[in-house]
Amino acid sequence: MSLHEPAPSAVADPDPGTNRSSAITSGFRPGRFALRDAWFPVLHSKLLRRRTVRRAIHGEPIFLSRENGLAVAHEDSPTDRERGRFRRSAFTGGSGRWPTFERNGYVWVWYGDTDAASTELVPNLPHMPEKGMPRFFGGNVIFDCSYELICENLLDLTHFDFLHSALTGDSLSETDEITVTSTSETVTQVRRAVNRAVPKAHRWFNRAKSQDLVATTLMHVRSGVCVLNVDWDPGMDIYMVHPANPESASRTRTTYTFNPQHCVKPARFLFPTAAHVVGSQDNYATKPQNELYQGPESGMKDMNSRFDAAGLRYRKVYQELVARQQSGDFGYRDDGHPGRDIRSELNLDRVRKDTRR
Amino acid sequence: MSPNAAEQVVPPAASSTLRAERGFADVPGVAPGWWPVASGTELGEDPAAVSLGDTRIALFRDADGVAKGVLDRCPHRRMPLSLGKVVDGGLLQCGYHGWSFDGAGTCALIPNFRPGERPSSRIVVDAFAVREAGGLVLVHSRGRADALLPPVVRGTTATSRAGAVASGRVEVRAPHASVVAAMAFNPGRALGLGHLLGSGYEVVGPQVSEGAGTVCVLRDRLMLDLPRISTFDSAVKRSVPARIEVCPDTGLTEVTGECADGGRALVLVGLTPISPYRTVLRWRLRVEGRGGRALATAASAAWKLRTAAGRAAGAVEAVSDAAENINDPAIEILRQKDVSA
Repeated sequence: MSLHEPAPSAVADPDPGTNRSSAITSGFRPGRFALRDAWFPVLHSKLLRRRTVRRAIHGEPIFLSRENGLAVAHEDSPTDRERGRFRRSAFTGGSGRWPTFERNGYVWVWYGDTDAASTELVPNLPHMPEKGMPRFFGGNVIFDCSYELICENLLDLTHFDFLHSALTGDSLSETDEITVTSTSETVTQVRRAVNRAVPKAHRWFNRAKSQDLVATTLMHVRSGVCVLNVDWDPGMDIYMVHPANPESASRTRTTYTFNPQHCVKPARFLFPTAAHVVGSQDNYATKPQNELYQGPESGMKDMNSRFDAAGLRYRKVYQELVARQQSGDFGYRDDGHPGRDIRSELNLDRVRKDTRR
Repeated sequence: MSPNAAEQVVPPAASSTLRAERGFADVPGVAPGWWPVASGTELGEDPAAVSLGDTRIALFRDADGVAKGVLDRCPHRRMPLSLGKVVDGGLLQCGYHGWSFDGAGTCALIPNFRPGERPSSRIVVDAFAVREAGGLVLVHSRGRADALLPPVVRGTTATSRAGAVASGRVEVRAPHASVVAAMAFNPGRALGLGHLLGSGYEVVGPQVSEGAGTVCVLRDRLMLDLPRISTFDSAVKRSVPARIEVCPDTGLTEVTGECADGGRALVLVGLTPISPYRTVLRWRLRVEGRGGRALATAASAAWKLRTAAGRAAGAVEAVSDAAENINDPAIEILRQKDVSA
């Protein structure tokens, strides 16, 4: 797809006759529109060594390598370049090189108008070291669906209680409050649950009878970068980056990084491996879902319960962004600047009950 | 700790009342009638995904073991319901968020709800009229649960154990109408059951008659489909008389072959169109009389071998191709009735 091609008809423009909720649910067409002008964390810096690594964003190939220690990203494979074949699309401004930047242990690639590629727009990850975590704390999970479904999945609380209850806990608690806020670019969900049962997978290193949970999920809608702080108190506090890189309409690459806090050493090293367990459980649901969202009945309306507020807000912000980009507005508004300080939004300064802190 | 999420199931009366108001859903793109979509043995404790035309259906058994069918797409986030499980109370539970539906398509349970809290009555999934007969699970394409069953399965039940039984299933790359014609023309050769139904040259017949909702054909074929050496007679001369009864609307077929020792072989064939050029064929054989068990076991083993070798579909496709251009009075009647409509 060229930068200047008209955007595929996708979302926005809900029928005037339909109500708001109906337009949000029926107008959600994952995989139909490529939101652009965003930085994507396509690769962990530590995985980029001598060999060229291939990645993709919205179907556009990205060949990453190091030149004099600096990460560079080409549109063409080394073989093609040797043969003198160059794509030089509008995404690289005709240079054949994607704008790249390294921070927080990621190689970030800009997808969009190269003139707008400011490093100030790289999402702020205050809970990750500047140079990234050791290699063991990161990895790749591939989902067979479009990235919008993964973004919605991350903001979907009831499936955590149902599908991943062994790892994240069940739905039983004394109180369970969910707040959802959004900007023009992000959706933030905070779940505060009191007196929950300790999840099954935590019990061997956490002998508490119950624990509180403050789970904060901040989703950058345009890029699919999800920043999480899941705080079990007493228990672990998992700082996490969960990107959802849209490689194609049926493939999403999650270049995740964990930064576990307040937990015994074996658990600190074991927890990152859970990504593949949770990932395969999610893929079990999202893979067949993808086909049904992109098939002939893609415009049908979904039913919702009151637990779907965050997912619906995501759909709304997503559709507004698509509508803006369809009308030629690719800029960021002040409220949704990806580089803003999100420490308080992520509840990173929260005082824990846990005495070990 | 006081739980804030308890499982509340809507009383069955409420859902059945709602179903009576809403009615069962239609299956677009197929002729009106009872269509076979699965065999009774395919549907165990877990739900099963089946197709009829372009419609995907999740089949499951409720608490009483009765087959039910709903659209295979959760109305919440479109996860196929057939990937879920059947929970206590005979509800079909979606594997993603746990929304659970009864056989009438009503959402009876949403996890995380407070005790006593009911899902909205607007949360429904399309339910289909399902019945089980002759060892097949049938779906009515116009949602008429009270419609008469096809004559070939009427009066039979899935639990019938008289005689020895064998069954098989294969997906055929041929249009539904062609496979129906193949069944009316030479079912013994298509299913590899020549020793029971005859598969070679036709020696007598066909005699065609039209009954109430069926087309009946009497054929007498040589037992084996062997090549004949020039003008010499066939090496194996034994012929098998067979009676073929076809429902022209859905292609549901019953073939009755006479065995040598006075016994008989009954084959019920269900044909499910799953796309314009794909048909799923399910057959169920019952052999009555002496040596029936051995004959059924041999037929089952032979079918499994042919399936494993990837040749089961090929035989049906070959007969379907042959039947497309053949001049046969039974096929001519079926063509006039246009079973593919």
